[in-house]
Amino acid sequence: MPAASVLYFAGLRQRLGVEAETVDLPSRATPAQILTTLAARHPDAGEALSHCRIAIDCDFVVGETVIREGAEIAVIQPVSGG
Amino acid sequence: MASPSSPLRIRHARIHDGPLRGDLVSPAALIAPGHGALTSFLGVVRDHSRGRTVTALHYECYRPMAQKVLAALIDESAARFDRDLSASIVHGLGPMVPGDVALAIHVGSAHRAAALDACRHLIERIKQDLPMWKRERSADGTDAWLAGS
Repeated sequence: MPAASVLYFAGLRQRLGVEAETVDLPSRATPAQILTTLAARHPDAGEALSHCRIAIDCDFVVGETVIREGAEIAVIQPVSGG
Repeated sequence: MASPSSPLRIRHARIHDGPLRGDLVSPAALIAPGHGALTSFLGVVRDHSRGRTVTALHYECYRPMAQKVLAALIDESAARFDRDLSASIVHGLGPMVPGDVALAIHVGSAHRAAALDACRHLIERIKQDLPMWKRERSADGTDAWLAGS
């Protein structure tokens, strides 16, 4: 299983108390599967994680994707820029 | 009559530390004979939100992705509205107070329809996809991250 670096931001980072963590993930996974894996690590944030999108190496992913060793996975909660 | 062979085509997108001031809020860099229309959108920190008086905002982003998203949105707008458009987007980061300019979008195109439509498209897409978040501090002491606003 590749180890990926998972990044959290803003309110989610504050809530989890963690900015980044290394997580073993399947070599192929959908965003929903990634979020389920993360929710298992942070059960109190399961609801918040369910509203997030996943970006891998700075691109949003939809559907199943390959996760390489060392990938940077960003958990993107609903945004509020502008 | 055909377009000039080498139209001005400026594409500029970046994240800026702090509020936007001076040249960053001006569309002057996009003024050119080929651009018959220039449009701008400025996002200004409002002094009220959800019934509260806002005293400060703090913007945070996932910087490398934010840069990439802004550049991609300009390309998307060009493909959709005018392949020769020029566009500049700068989004501020960090602490701000009401009245500060947090976002500046400028679009130049040969005609007004593309310039107006692309500018509107850019701000709406930024609201959807830019990995940027703001924390709002209110006069009543509340301090909260906003989502989807």
